[in-house]
Amino acid sequence: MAQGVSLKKVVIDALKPHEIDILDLSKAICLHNGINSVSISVIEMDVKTETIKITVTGDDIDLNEIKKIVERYSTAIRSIDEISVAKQNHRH
Amino acid sequence: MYTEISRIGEISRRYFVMNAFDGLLTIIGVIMGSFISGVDDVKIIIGTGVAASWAMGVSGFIGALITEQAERERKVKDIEKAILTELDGSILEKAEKFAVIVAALIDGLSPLLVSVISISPLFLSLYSLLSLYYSLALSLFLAIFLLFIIGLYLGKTAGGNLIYYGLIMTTSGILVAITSLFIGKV
Repeated sequence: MAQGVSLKKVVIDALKPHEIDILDLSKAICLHNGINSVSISVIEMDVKTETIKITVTGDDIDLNEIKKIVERYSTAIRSIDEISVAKQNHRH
Repeated sequence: MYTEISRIGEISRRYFVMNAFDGLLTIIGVIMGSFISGVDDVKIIIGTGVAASWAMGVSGFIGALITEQAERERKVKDIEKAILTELDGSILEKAEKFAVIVAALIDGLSPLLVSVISISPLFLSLYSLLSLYYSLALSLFLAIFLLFIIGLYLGKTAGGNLIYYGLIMTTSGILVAITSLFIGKV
């Protein structure tokens, strides 16, 4: 990421098995540094899977870390649908 | 979390009841067989009971290990296909592996445990604290009592009539004991 720019919001489209609880997944993401809030909504229900939309907001989100957590929770990331970045405030 | 993901709670309950039931009926068979054939050496009866319990334990452990592993590997592969991603090292894969071990342990330990408890009065006879006849009767009573307890547990799980489930289990034990008498005399 460019120096002085931080990721403030990311929206991920993902596919998870029914067995994985969205509460567990959202808490696991939220516990990470630089993240203020996580919301997950179920978009579509299938026989074995659910399509979910994960919205993460924070001061300085590490997208790679989020990807790792999501994969650890047996969930496949299909696409990154929204990104919001902002210049970091410099203190002199 | 692993327990919820793998839904091992329900399967464990089923395995526990099924195998404890198997173990108790087998022990009733051993007790009745010893009684009918007039074995007067308690060491032989204890040896037979312990060996039968051990065999049931090993059989339960290995049987559940292999079948659960096959079933759960298949489940993980099905999910991998559905989400088009490998699940190696993920929480779901770990939860399923955990479930295999838990299921195998319960499947192995439940018949072993109830059988050993059932034949425990025979040790009183071994140390000459009780006559062989009474210790056999006490073992039989203990096995049937354990069947009743397992029935109560089943009834509680089903949220139904506890006594009804308890009596069904007890009746099956008594039936095995009575029919063993007839079969043994043939």
